[in-house]
Amino acid sequence: MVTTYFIAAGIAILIILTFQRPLVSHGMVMVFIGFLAAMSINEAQSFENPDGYFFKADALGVIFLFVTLIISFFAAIHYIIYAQKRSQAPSVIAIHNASFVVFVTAISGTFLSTHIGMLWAFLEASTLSGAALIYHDRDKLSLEATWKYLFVSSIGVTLGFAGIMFLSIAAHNTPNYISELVSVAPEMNIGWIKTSFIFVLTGFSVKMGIVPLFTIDIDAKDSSPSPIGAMFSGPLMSMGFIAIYRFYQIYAHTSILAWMNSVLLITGVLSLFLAAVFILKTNNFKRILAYSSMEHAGLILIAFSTGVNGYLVAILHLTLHAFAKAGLFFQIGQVHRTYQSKIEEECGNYFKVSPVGSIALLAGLLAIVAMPPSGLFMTEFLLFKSLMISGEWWIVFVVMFLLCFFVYAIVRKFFTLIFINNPNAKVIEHVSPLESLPPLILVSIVLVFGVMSPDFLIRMITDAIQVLPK
Amino acid sequence: MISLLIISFGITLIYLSIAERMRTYNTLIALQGLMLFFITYIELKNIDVVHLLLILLETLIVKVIVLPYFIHRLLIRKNGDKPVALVVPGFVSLTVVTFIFFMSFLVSYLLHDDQIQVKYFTGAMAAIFTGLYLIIVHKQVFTHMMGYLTIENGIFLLSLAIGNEMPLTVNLAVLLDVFSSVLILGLFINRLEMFSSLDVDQLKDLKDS
Repeated sequence: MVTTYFIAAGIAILIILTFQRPLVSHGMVMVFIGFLAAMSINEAQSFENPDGYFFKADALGVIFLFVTLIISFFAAIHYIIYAQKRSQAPSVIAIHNASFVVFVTAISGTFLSTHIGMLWAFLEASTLSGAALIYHDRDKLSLEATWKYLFVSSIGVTLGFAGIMFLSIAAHNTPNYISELVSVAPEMNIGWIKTSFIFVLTGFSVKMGIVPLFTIDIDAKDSSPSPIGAMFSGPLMSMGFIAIYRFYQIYAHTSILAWMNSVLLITGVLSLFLAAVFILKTNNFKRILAYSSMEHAGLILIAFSTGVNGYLVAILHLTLHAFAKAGLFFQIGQVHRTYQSKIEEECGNYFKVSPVGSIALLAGLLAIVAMPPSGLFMTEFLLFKSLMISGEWWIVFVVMFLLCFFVYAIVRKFFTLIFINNPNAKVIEHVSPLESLPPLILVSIVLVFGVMSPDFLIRMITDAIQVLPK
Repeated sequence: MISLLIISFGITLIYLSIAERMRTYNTLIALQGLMLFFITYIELKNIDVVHLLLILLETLIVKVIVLPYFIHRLLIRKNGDKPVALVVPGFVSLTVVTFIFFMSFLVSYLLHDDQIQVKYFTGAMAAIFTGLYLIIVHKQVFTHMMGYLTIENGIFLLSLAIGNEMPLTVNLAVLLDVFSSVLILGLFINRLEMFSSLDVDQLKDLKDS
């Protein structure tokens, strides 16, 4: 099925680039998403069965496949409106849609890869297609963001490749299949695998949007169209996580487990700290959302670093955050269209302009600042619990202190947008309330999961983390 | 013979640290590709033909012919063979790269790992860190790209040092990715003309407030 999916993606790209008609182009993206849905369902029904030489879905891969499917579907719909309202040229739409298909294929390929080299190739493919998506508006800012993204991301992914090489040394040239590497992990040289993990974490941090290579991720989310910002905050972040997780999965069977957890903890706290500093400074709503994604990525790493108590929390948090943040990016795209601005000083009184859109924003805010009934409240509560169980009291206080900055910055700035009358805010376009439906659906998933425990999801995550040592 | 080629590869790294013209950088990167081609040919001629052809395609066709021609046509011929501003004096760069070389050798030698070949590992580490050094000390996007290509060459040498053979499909995917990434980087450099110069100081419009 995976092979059929890749062939379908290739044919879709070919048709999009050959015909370059918006209707054909958008239609092919929808057909491709149909194939993604079929492949995801097939993998969910037969997971743990190898699909070709390099692919096999595990529970984690299946969860992220469905997250990617749902967000990609809404992103594709939002892009149709985006292109229509901006009267984009057919060639620009074709390049975007072809890159979108490559991007989604690369992300889904990463979730299913059983070979470390193949995983790397998909990560690099996501960089190239991601660059084309960021460059969509073809203005000075998008060019700057694209250049920075392409360059730093390429360096990052290359450093990740060096990490793979060090793993090969440690594994004495065992074929780079994850299952085989896990089986030889206890005999690996500690020095090499520590070096490998540092290179991998540094290199792939660019995909997850964490310290050290986070800056280009912020610029990319700001300069790209909002549907792409949603893809970067959801599926791409999951891709970065799974890339790091696959190495963690191998090295967790060695004596460096505690050391890896310390490295993840430091990276998580640093990401949280830097995001807290920058979110207070910015007045651009898309950048606020981008820094909020960095905050959540930091929390995910902190949860993961607590070991067995935090694995489930981290993966659940990542899944729910993807929906909430994608919904907010879609909605902020509509705010941008309404005021032709995403700057705090040029927007205001949004509730009067779009009550439905404002409700979507408020629900999204509730979700991302982790207020009940948000599912993220549940995961953050469990995060603190697992930190306390691990005896990391000082981390609990540091994280709580830093989270106050996020709540303050996000609530203050978004409340100004929604409720405060601003004479500088000029309403350029009234957006249909129907367009707020996808953000409302996505955010509702997070709120509903906070009230009703998502048993099937928790079962799948529990199944996924069985491969990690207890 | 291989030792001679590795030493020549090292000399290109030292020369890169003090080069002042775009054409010189491009020639040095092409020369590195040529050396990697000979090293690969000597080292890997016993592997199966398809793998060997693929690796030779990556070194000789992509690294020696296509990329340098592409960079020359897109950047040098169009903008002229401009001098590259040296932010750090040449003498300092020369000292730093020599130090990088010395440290790479020392680390490789002290590792005592049967898995790695010291001469390859020294060249690879030196290339990776020289590439990073070039990116840090230069302010022009052109030299940043040259630094990136140097790192790529270092990684290639590292894979030879380890000798781990990837499956053909993976090799093909890696080759395709590397080739297209450099191609797209080049295309974007070309577009960056709207910033009036190829200086990274011009790329400061994206900020928080």
